[in-house]
Parts: sequence; C-alpha cells; structure tokens
Amino acid sequence: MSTFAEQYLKLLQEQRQADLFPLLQTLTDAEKKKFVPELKKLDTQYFKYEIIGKSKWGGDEYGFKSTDIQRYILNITHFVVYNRKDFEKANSGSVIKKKVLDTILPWHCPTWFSDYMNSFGGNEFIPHFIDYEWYMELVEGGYVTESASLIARILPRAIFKPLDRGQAYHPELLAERPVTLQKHIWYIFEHGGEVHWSDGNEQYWLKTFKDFCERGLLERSRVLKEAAMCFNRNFNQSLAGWFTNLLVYLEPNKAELIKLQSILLNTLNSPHSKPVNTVLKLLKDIAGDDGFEQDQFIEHCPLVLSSDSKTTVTNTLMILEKLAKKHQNRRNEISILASQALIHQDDKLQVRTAKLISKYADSTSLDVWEAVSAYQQGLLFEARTILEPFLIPEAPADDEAAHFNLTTEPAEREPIPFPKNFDELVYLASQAFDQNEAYHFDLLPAAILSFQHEMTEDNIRKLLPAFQRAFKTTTGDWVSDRGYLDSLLSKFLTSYGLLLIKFYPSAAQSFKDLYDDHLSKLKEKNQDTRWFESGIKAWEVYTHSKGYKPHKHILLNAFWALEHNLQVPLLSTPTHQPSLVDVKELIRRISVYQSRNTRPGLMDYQVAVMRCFADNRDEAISLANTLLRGESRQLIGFILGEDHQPAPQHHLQPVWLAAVLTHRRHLINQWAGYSKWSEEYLLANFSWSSYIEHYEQDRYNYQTRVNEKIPATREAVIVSIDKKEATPVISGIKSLWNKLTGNKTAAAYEEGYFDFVELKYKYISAEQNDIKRLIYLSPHWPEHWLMYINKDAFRYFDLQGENDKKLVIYALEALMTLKYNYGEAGHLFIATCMLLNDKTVRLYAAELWIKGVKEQTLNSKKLGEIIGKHEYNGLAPLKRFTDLIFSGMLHISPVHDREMEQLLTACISSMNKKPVNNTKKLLDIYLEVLAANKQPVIDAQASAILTEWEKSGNSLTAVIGRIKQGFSIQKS
Amino acid sequence: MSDTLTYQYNQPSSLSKVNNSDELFLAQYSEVQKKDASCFFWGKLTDPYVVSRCLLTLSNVVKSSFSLSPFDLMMLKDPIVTAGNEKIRFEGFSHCAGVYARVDVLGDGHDGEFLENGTTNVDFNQPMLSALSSVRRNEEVLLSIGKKEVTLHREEGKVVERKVPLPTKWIKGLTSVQVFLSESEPACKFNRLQAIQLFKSIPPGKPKTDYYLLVRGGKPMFSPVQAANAITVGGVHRLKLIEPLLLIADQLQVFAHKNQQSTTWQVYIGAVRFSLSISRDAWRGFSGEGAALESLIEDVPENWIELMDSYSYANQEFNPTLLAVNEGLDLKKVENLTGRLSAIGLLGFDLDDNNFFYRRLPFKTSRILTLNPRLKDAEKLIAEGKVQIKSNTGNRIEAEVEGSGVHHMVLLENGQERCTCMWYSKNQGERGVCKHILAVKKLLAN
Repeated sequence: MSTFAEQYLKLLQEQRQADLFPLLQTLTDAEKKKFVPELKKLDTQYFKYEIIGKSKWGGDEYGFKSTDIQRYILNITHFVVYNRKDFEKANSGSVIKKKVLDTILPWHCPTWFSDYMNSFGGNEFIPHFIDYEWYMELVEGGYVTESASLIARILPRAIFKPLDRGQAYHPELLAERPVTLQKHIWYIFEHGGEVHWSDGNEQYWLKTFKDFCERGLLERSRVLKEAAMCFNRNFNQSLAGWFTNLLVYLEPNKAELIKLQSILLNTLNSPHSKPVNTVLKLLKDIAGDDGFEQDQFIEHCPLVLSSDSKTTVTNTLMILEKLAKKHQNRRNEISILASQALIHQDDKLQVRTAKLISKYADSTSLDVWEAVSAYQQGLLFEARTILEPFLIPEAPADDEAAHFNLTTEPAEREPIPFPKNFDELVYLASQAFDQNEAYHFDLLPAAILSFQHEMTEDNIRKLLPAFQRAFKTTTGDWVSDRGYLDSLLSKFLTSYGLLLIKFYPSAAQSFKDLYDDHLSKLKEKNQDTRWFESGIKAWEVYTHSKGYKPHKHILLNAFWALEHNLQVPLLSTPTHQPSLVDVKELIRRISVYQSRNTRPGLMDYQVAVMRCFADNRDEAISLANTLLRGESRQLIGFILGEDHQPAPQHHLQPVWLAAVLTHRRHLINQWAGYSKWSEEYLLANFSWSSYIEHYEQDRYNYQTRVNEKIPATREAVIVSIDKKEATPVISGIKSLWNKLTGNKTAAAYEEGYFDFVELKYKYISAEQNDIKRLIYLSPHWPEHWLMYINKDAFRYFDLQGENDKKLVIYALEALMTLKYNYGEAGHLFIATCMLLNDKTVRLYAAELWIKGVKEQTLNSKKLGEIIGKHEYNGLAPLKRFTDLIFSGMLHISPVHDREMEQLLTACISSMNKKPVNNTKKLLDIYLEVLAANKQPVIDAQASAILTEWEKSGNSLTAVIGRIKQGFSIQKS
Repeated sequence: MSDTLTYQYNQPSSLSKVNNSDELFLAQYSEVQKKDASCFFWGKLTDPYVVSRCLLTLSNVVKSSFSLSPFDLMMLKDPIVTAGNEKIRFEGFSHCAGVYARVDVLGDGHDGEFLENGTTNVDFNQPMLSALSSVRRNEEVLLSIGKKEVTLHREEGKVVERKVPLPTKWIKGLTSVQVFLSESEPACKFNRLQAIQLFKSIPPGKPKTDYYLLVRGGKPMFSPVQAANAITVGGVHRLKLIEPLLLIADQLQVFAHKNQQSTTWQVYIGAVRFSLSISRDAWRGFSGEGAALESLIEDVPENWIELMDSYSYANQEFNPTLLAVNEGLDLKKVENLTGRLSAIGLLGFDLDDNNFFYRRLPFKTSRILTLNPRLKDAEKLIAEGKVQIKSNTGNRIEAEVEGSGVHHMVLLENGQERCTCMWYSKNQGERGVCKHILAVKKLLAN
C-alpha cells in the first residue's frame, strides 16, 4: 500500500479530480500536519510562473506548466490541510465560493474558517461572492459565528438580485429570515458599512425603509432614532449625509421630532455640516412648540454659532429669534448668546444678529452690554449702527495716536559680527553653505582676506571640514535648499585651498590629501572631474543668467587680492543687518586701498556704494576729508549730498552710476552717459499689462489617436522690459576687431552692475534660494530684481509650483527687512501678491502694505489701481482680496484707514462697469472705511463706477445708496 | 524596523450601558507591570461630555501624521494613561511625533477611587470612540481604567492583541517633550472668543513657512511676518486639531519654549485640561531633536529606578532634594537629576504647576535607553579612541574628533559649544548637540 503522499501525487499528476474528496477524507489531523511540507513543495512546483514557450510575436510567453485542474486540486487541498496562515499565503481564496464549499463543509470545516470569513468585515473590499444569503446559510449551518460588522457590510447588497446586466430590486428578500429585520438591519446603523453607495444613488434603500415602516415591518420610531444617532457616530461625511437623507425622507412629524430632539441636539457636535444644517432646519420647525427643550438647545448653541458655514449660523439665529419671541423672560440671555455670531466678519450675519439683539435685549442690561462690546472692534458699519445703544462710545481720535506711525527716525541698526579670531573663521567657514544667514556669503571671503596670513598647518587642518563641505557642495547631489550662489562660494573656497598649496606646500599638505582623496573618489565613481578641477574663474550658471555675475566678480576681486597676498578688505562686506554697509566703515576700507596704492574691484565698489547708509552725514564727511582723496573722496561726498558732475577723468564710472541710481536718482539725466543703457531701463521703468490670454492647448484625442489643438484661456501678466542701448551698438566687425586686438574700450561698461542685473530662467530651479542674496546687493533700491520677478513668476498670474512660491515668499521676506520708496516694480509686485493663489503670499503682501504705510514708502492709490486692473481683467477672484482685508488690514490705525480708503477708491475706479462676484463684500469694506474716516466719495471716476454698479439692480443697491449718502465729520 | 510592540488587552475598551448609566471601560496593558492587570481608577466623571470630547481630540492627534510617513499609518499607537494623586492624565503623540497631546482630568473632574497608581497603555478602538462621540451633556458616565471586578468582564475571555511596529519615535518623543515643556514659559492667555478669532486666522492648507502669533490692536492673529515679541509657530495647520475644543473652552493659554523650539496650547474646560504641544516644524518630531541627550551623558545608576519606584507614586510632584535626602543619595551626583530621569521616561511635566511629576512609561527601560542613536554614536567614538582633548584650560576646552575623512574641531567655551560638523553647522545647536560634542562631554564627565 503506497503512502498518502504517493497516492496524492499520482492523483494530481493524473488529474483525477473526482477521487480527491475520498482521498482527503481519509486524512487524520496528525496526517494533515505531516503532509504540509510535502504540499508546500508541490505548491512551489505547480504554481511556478515561468517561460512556457514563444508567443506569436516572438517574445517569451509566461504561464504555469501545471493545468487548471491540477491547480484547482491543490487549492482544495490547501483548504483542507493548511492552517489559516498557510492558506492565506497560498493565495487559494478562489475556493471560497458557495458552489465549492457546499461540497466540502459537510465533511470538513477548518477551525479557522469562521474567523477567516468574519475577517472580511474589516477589509477594505469584500469579494462580491460573499453575500448575505450565503453567509446566513453558513451561520445557520454552524460553520460561522455571526459577525455584526460583516453583516453590516453585506446586508446593503441583500435587496438586489444580480441580472446579466445590472441588478433587480427585491426588497422582499429582507423578510425571508425573521432575524434580518429583527436584528441584522440595525447593524447597518451601528457599523455604517456601504449602504450609502450600495444602491447607486437610486434611493432603493430609502424607499425600502419607508415602505417597511409603513407596512409595519420595521418600527418607525426606532428607524428615526437610529438614523438620528448615526449623525454623530464618527462616520465619514457621505455616510453621515446618507443617514441625514434617510431621516428627511421619512418626513418626521413634529411629535416625532420633539421625541428625538435630545439626540438631534447632540448632532450639533458633528464635524459634518450637512447633518448639522438639516437638524437645525428640523429644530426650527419645533422651536416654537411647547415640548421644545430650549435649555438644551441654548446649551448647544455656542457649537454652531461660530461655525464656518453661513447657513448653520443663520439657521441657529432663526431658532434663537423664535425662542426670544416666545420667552419674554429669557430675551437678554438669548441676546447674549446670539452675540457670539458677531464674530463673523460678514455683513449679513452681523446685521441679522444685531437686529435680534436690538429688538429683544434690554439696552440697560450690563450683561448684554458687556457681551456685545466684546465684539465692538470687529463690528461692521451697519451692525454697529444698529447696536449703537449697546456699545461703549468710542473715544475721539487722539491726535497723537493718529500720527503714531509717521515717525521716520532711523531704525535701530543691528550690527553684523565679523569673525574676531581664526576659530571664528573656522566656524563661519563650516556653515557658509548652510545659508544660516544671507550675509555669510559676503562674510566668508572677507574673513579669509582678513586672516590670510594666519594659515598655519594647524589652522589649515581646522578648516578641513569646511573644505570638505565645499567639495561636496560642488560635486555632490543637488539639495533643494541650495542656491547657485552656494555652488559659486564652494568653488571659491576650493580655489583658495589650491592657492594655499601653492603658497604653503607643506602646511597645506592636509588639504592636498583631502583634495586628492576626493578627486580619486570621483574618478572611482567614473564621475567627470572637470567641473571640480576648474577653478572659480570658470564658474557659470547653466541658464547663463548674468544676474550672478556681481557675486562672482566680488569673489574674483577677493581671489585676486589673495593671489597677490594683498592685505586689503572687501568694500561690500555688510556691517549691519540685513546687508548694509556703514559709510564710515566704507571710508575706512577705501582708505586702506589708497594707502596701499591699489584700486578696489569695481564690482565690489559698486555693491558697497549700493549698500551704504549714513546715519550721521557730518561725521562721515569729516572722516572722508581726513582719510580719502581724489575721485573716491568726491564719490563719497556725492553719496552724502555734495554736488559733483560727471567728468571725463573719472575712473569709477560704474560706481558713480550705482551711487546716482541708489542715492540721487533724480540726477540720472546728468549721469546717464556713464551707461550704455537707456535712462528708462536704468530707472527700472517698464510697461506691463494683464489680461486673459487665448492660446491653443494640446489635447490627446483618444478616437483619432492624435494630439489636437484646443482653444483655451489662461491668465497672464506680461511685463515688457525695454533693455535698450542708448549709445550706438558697436558693429559686429568692430567688435570682432576689438576682440582680436585686445582693445578693451568697452570694459568699463561690462563691469557695471546694471549691465548684469537680470533674473533669467525658463523653469525655476534654484533661483529661489538665491533671490534674497540678489536683492541684498542693492538693499536701497532692488527694483530691477522685482521687475524680473514680476516678469517671470507672474507670467501665468497664479504661482505654479512650490519653487515659484518660494521665490516670491523669499523676495517678500527680503522686502520686509528693507526700507525704501517702492517704484513701479515694487508696487506691481505687492499688488499682484495680494491676489495670488497662496494665502501666505497674500498675508505677506498685506504686511508689506501695513509697513509701507507706516514708513510712508508706498503709494496706496497705485496699489489700488493695479488691483483694480487685475480685477477688471478677471485675473483672480475678488474674494481673495476682500478676505485679506478682513484678515487684518482694517482699522490698524487712522492713517492706515485713510490709506485703505485711497486704495479702495482707486481700485473701484479701475474696475469693470459690470460688477464681479463679491463686489458686495468689497463695498461693505469701502463703506466701513469711509465711515471710519467720516468721508464721502469724492473721486469722480469711483462715483461713476458705483452708479453703474447700482444700475445692475442686484444686492449692491442698498450698500451703494448708503455709501453715496456719505459721512461727514460734522455729523459725529 | 523589525522590533514590534504587542499590546495585549484582556478585552477591548468599550462604552456600554450598565445599570442604566454608561460605563466607559478602558482596557489597559503595560509592558513593565505584572500581567494580571489591575484597576487604576473606578468612578464617576464630573463632566463626561467634556472628557469624551477631549479623548476624541486626543484620538485625532494619535491618528494624525504631518510628515510624509504613510508607512504604518494604519497601525495606531494607543495613548497611555497615568492615574494617581487625584489626577488622571491621558497622553499621546501623533504619528510623526511632532504633536504631543495630553488630557488632564484634575481633582474636580472625577469622583471615584484610585485603586492603584501607575501608568499604562489603554486600548482606543474605533467602536469605543464612535460611542464616545455620542456622550451627551448631563449624562452619567462611569470610568474604569482596568478591570475592577475580574469576573464581570470575562464574557468573551478573548485577549485583544494588536501588534504595532515598535513606536520608537513615540517613546523617544515622550521622553524628549518633557524637556521642551520644562523650558517653556507662559506667553499669552486668551478667552474663548479671542481663541476662536485667532484660530480663524490659520491659513488653509499646509503652509510650509513659519507663522507668528502676535496681538495686534488687542486682537490675536497668525501672521507670516516675524514681529518683535511674536511667538514662532511652524506647521501652524497642526493646531487645527484642537479647534473643536475651543468651542467649549473657558480659556486658552499659550506657552512658548525659551528658544522658540516648540509651543504648547493649553485649553481649559472646567476641571479638564487639554494640552497640545507642537514641535518647531511639521517635519520635525520631538523625537529627533536630541533635547534629552545631554541629560544622558552620565549613566543613570540602575538602582535609582528602583528607588524612584519605591519612593514616588504616579502624578506626584517630583522633588529631587527630598529624594536625595530620603534615599541617602549624594547630592552632587544628583545634578540635573530631573533631566536624566525624564530622559529615561520616569517623569512628566505639568506646565500649570511648573514642576515635574512622577510617571513611569509603560515600556521597558532598556528599550528607552537604546533609542538615542546619537548617544550610541558618541560612545562608539570614545571607544574607538577618536576623541582627543587638545587643550583644557577650565573654561576653554578644545578637542579634535575624528569624522569621516576629516577631524572636527570641538570647542567648549564659556558655556557655549561648537563643532565644525554638518549637523552643528546646519542647526547651530538648536536641535541638540552633535555626536562629536556629546563624545567630548562624555569623555570629560567620566
């Protein structure tokens, strides 16, 4: 007699399916256990997915070598022999079918079968073949213990019979077993399940419940109660919504609602707005009735009065109104409660609340008075007018308070510490690539220059970690917070290291070892080493954006001094936050060059001049008189206000130009000859327009299988920068001749900062991490940079990606640290930011406005015009702007309110005659500001637009009417 | 992570009707306590509605994750509860370990017996939470943490076992967050109205930039622009977790860390307090900050834990001097004792009382000690002889520590410590010291 394993193998090979059951039935539990390893071996062999031949296209064809029958035999055997873990691992779920199991279960039911079946209740998807009918048969057969969570999930499908296509509705199936309606149907309410999408929005389940209640098969009061309880069972939004629909569908009458009210009131805790609003509507119906639990409702009110949903608040107020009408003795209490709705900066809600309070509350009650005045600051004009008897009279505007912000004293300047000893240089160098501070870029070359004669063996060794960081920054993977300038700085440091080898071969041996080691590692990895080995002079950014040249030139200036062992400082190293140079320090630095008979680097000089400030002019002049001579003395004098004219003997032409454009812009027409660029360009004047652009979009047509051009629209802000040369261009041949002969007549021009200032990119890559340092090149007047940001970042108006967002945010951050009179570019930048698709950007722009008004550096009217123009062209929803004003631009100070009025007047004047969405909100704010300033509308253009809007005959009429009535100081 | 933690509850937690009143039964399990779990608390809740709202919020914190860690998101970690000294405290962490939440049910918040003192994990299952959300005001609810009468709940006799990947971040966060709390100061207080107004100014979405809490014209608001005296809040959207509680709050108090490395938002509702502490940024967990590292430089004598256990009981205010006197410890050795004990999971911090309280985490101490890779790295550096003290003049110590390919210079000068490594350069000491400084300090200490 052969063993079981042998018999089984034979059966499997011969595919004798009919003999399988009798054979398996002979197995005892111990034998099954023994057979498991054998079976696993067979699994490996028979379920191997492998190459079984060639496909008709010539490739390999994959499949099983075993037959379907053999695999079926194995699957059945798994069910009988394996434990649950092995069964699940063997992936034999295909036997879990009524047809198959009906033949096995009568003679074998694995101990794990019940748990296995019930575990489907916790799975995301339940196989369609596990239906209620079969599951109940299994329960009744004693094979499975009933699981409420699984039933709750499969019962929703039980009222349907599958057809060839779709399914047929058979609610009577539910009545087949008494337990279904007595017990199981309630599991749906307790466990949720998929009842909300099981009937494909056809409302079959709603009908079933209604029908069964009417026929007395289900207890109506229980269905209502259970449905109401589901609103707040932590169910997801759509499921909670479905139960809400069920309750509404059953049309509960008033008596039923009264009975349900305590459950319904608890719904107000629900995080979903649909059940909350439905319940409030239902409660509204019974609020006037005698059985209404007003105490409980009042207790729950705070939960809904501060809701973000306007409907919720309105409904609550309506109920409170009903209660106030009915219960005379509770009117003050209800009014105090209702006052919580005044927190919403919404005219309609505030007016409704105000009306309720003024109608029912006692204006002499201290409690009401206290409650209402808590919201006084945020009250809008109309609500405030209604609530006047309940408010603390406002103190007349204090003149001092009104002018508190008009101080123009020099701000407290925060000095930037310069490394005092070599150790401090070491710690500066090791963090120079981390951008902990924007000025570290400037500080590092300056500090190296300062300590260049302390490069002993020990000290060089201390710098090795910084050199290592530089190598890794140059050749390692790009990281998201690195800018191109970090790469530039790393090349500078590496080049300096190589210089050390040249100067101090033995002291710098440790650096050489580190360098060689890094180089050999690169070679091992087959990396191109040319970039690593090329020095700082070869550095270039791949976009060829000239904007990086000023930084590079300053580093080259420093490198030149190091190469020549010159102990001179860099002129442009900032002395004060964020990137300013004290003019006295600048004078001292220039004098060092003069005493060494050396000229400072032109770019270094220009940037220093653009960064310099003078808090005490006389002191600076006298210091300059003592320390400086010649052209530099004149130049410093010019910055400090002295009169000087262009002169042919000037060597520092680009520096003079930088001084004019930074400190004495009104004199530009005298000095424009020092640049080849037109005056317009030098003054960062540009033209712009915003509109909805029509273009053709590529779309794939699945029918024709080709890309098609589809007309589409997009928002656009087009900035045209007219970078024109004022002096005639040198002809091609002449320039070639100059190149060949080494004639450098145009050299002075090419050294100019204004030749280079530009931001050029097609797809932003790392520019966002450099923008602050670029802006800080000219902290007194960064208009050119803003002009280029306007051009590229707002091309399609809204910010597209995270990097664009960062570019704008970092630029805004930099502007927050500066104080200068904004030009065209600054205004366009701030105004556009107020409407963009990112709240942080908008809030920043608002803060810049607040700061700009305080420091008198911007023109609110101009901002208003730009916003109005953008709105005229439909670039952004007006809501972004109105929400921004509500979030913190109103009533900052009387001066801010006056500026806000100018901004809004200009904005309205520039808007379309046909009002856009949310114009009502804008007008509410305008009314608010006019009331605060006690001003009428005097601007003719704004009045005309208001008249046009009034004609549109919608909700604007009332508010415009009120605006036109005007306010005057006499009235108050 | 191969290590797993297995919660073994004798039965699931539940909210059920017993004798006409609801009973909130919380099943408990502790790795360090005896297996035949006992009952910590049994009694009535004064305001069950508030407690259940707070527990739901806590469960939302535990369920949340603010950094990109979809892995094991479904594996919920259960909160832990500490009962004793008339207080019941539930605490837990978000998945990313950047948000810490604690519910304190104070003396007036309950009326019952503390049958045992201690800290334990409690089972938070979905059906129990669903039931919790239907608890109404003025309802009577009994709370029992652990089984009072063993026979009563033996109906099913099945052990609820849930395996979760060992919550390293969690445990580490729990030991580190106490350091942040103890270094925080009260910054501002808001009434309900102001708090709601403030939370309405949280921008939508997940802002990546920092926001600052400032009060402008008497109105609190969040602004992206830093101002003087403003409190830095990174990952401000995480605060939305407590928004629902503000509606029933009496007061909101904000505590700010001395170096703006965390903020704690404490909501007061009657006799219940809910505190939410958020880390410096949404992507930073309290676990990785290394705040407790320096406290671990010196080894903790093993017998201390036993001493603490016998000396203190849960939630009791911790007084190091008293411990030293009573247990005959050398006071010099007890320097920074609180820091060291909280770093090994023996202490929690109460901001209102401004003191540490005894609470032994229900995890094996050996586990907690293995959680600090930076400390282990430092020990390795010393063992391999890679730390060299170059000069030591008392207030200036210069050392050289071998790193990968280079030697880092560590300088301890006038209470300031600096290193040339990347971690220090990037964080400037804000996120705990680097392994190099740690190694030098450890070498000097031993």
